[in-house]
Amino acid sequence: MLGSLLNLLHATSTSLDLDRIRRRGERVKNSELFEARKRRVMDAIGFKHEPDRVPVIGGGVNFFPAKYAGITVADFMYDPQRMRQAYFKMEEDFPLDTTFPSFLLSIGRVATAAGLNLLKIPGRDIDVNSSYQYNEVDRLKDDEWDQLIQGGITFVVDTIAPRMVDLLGTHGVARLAGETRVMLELMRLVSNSLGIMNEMEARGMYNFLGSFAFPPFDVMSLMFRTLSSLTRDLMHKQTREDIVEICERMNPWLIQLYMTLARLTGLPGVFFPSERAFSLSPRQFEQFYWPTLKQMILAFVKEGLIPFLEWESDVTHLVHFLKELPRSVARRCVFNCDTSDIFEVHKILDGHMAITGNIPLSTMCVGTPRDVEKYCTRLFEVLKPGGGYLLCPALGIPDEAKPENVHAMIKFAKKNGNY
Amino acid sequence: MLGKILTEDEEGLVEAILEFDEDAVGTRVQQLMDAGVEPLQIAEIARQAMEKVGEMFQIKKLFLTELIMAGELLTSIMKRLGFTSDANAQVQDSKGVVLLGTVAGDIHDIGKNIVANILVSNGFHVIDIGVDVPPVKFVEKVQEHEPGVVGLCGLLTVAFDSMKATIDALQEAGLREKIKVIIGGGAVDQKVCDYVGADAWGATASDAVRLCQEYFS
Repeated sequence: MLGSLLNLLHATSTSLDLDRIRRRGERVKNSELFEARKRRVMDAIGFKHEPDRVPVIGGGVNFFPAKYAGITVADFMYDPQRMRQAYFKMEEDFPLDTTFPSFLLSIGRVATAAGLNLLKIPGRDIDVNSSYQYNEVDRLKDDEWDQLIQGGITFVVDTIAPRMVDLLGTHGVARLAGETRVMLELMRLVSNSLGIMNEMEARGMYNFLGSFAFPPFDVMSLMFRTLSSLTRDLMHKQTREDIVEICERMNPWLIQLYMTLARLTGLPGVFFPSERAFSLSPRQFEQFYWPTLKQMILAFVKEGLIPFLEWESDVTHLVHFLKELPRSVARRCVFNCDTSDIFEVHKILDGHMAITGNIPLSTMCVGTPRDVEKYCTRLFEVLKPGGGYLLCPALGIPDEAKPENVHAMIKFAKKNGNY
Repeated sequence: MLGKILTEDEEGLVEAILEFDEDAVGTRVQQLMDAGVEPLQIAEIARQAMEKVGEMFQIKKLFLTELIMAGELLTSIMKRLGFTSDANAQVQDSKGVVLLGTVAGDIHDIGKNIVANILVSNGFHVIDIGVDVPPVKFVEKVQEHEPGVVGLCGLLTVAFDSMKATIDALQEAGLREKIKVIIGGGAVDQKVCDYVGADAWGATASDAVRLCQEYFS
């Protein structure tokens, strides 16, 4: 009897030891994997001479994890448990070197508690399977420019913000109850997100993007004025001057806000989309967009951050502005090319800044793995030599990407990406 | 510069349009009206300036914001000239009827609106049925208006399957053979065109005009 018990205890302890060793082994393996991915991504961004291979990244992934896991976009935005499972399923099944932490998009509960109308949210405003979309309205009315110029941040807080967030237009008990709910949901979101980040690192998944930023012109266009209205504003001398002034005055405040977000996660990458730049001529870009964007990039890099510049649509006519950045700054940035002519962009930037993106979203969604390979082959021929290149679809993995096409992209990088 | 010798004031209007300065355009139109130039003649100069804008946009000398500005300027000139009724040509006087909408799941309308404006300014009658339009509504509207061309718009990748579903629905309703379907917006290209079963795709509003001109010729 005693012998049997001792045997059982021995077997159990041996099994526990083995389990510990296995877990320790996994931790070491995951830690090595994490470090290898981190080094690969950072070497590519910094143009180190011999990165081991071209990193393959997810870029601005939004709801691909939801579609892949078979849950709705609304589930992903509102249900932390289902979102978490879907996110890790994608991370496990697609061994990318890094990707946008789309779990940060799980803002459904916070947005609903606050009455955020800046976005149309799936399940609340639009179909459960659509991506969230900007709700473009003129929150700054045609005749309010003077008040904005004179009132500044006070006017934004008192007048424009309540047009963006319903809760800010309420008072008394309703306001207090609403704010409490928002705080609780926000705390839950932050806690969930930090938990996922920690778990990712423990599982060898590297994530360098921890925050986001928008240039002042885009803030004006997405939050204050519709693109049509802002375009009309550009046809009048007075409002042209007002736009420049507002962008300049907003910039230091926005820079502080974005840096606070970045400090919260402690990750260096700032996902930095430019959604309106493509619509501007070089002359307009130089006047209204670039000065404040450039200031932002310089400030972020000085703070140790890495701007991931996702310039939407075709901006081939604007890319040369990036050459104004000192090389030491440019080599702490990544240019994400959407539908611009990436070969022309490569020629213009000429080793100044790392490049990623450009596999057409149509190829990822309705093409075949062979189509993906063919496109990647063309990209590698020109962009791989010399480093400074990360393989990625145009604007990240699209929501409707075929899983076999994402696998094809990853396989291609692993097979052909070695230096 | 526009194929005919213009007076100094007429040249001034063209320049103001190409500078996209609404205040200057207003002043120039007023000068021409004060000088007794017929509104139709002024409208013709503005239309020709718009053509120039379209050409420059095609060769990437002008960009989207400027295209939108030009459309806005044309509308304001027409209003100033007293052409206050809907600029949309009447069906019987138009070059053809085009039905436009952003497909289900997508609420983006900037591209659609630009296409609508440019088609109207090129003499087409446009029926815009809005955004996030389900296939069944496209079918109803095609039955109601009997357009020659249906334009499906969408910026997001979710629009690919919605475009396909819309074209399938038109097919099931027996309407597909009677119309040409063109698609545009965002990530649309030939691959998407093949996937959804459209007749053609366009990257810009000028492509939409070219395709409609072909189909209605």
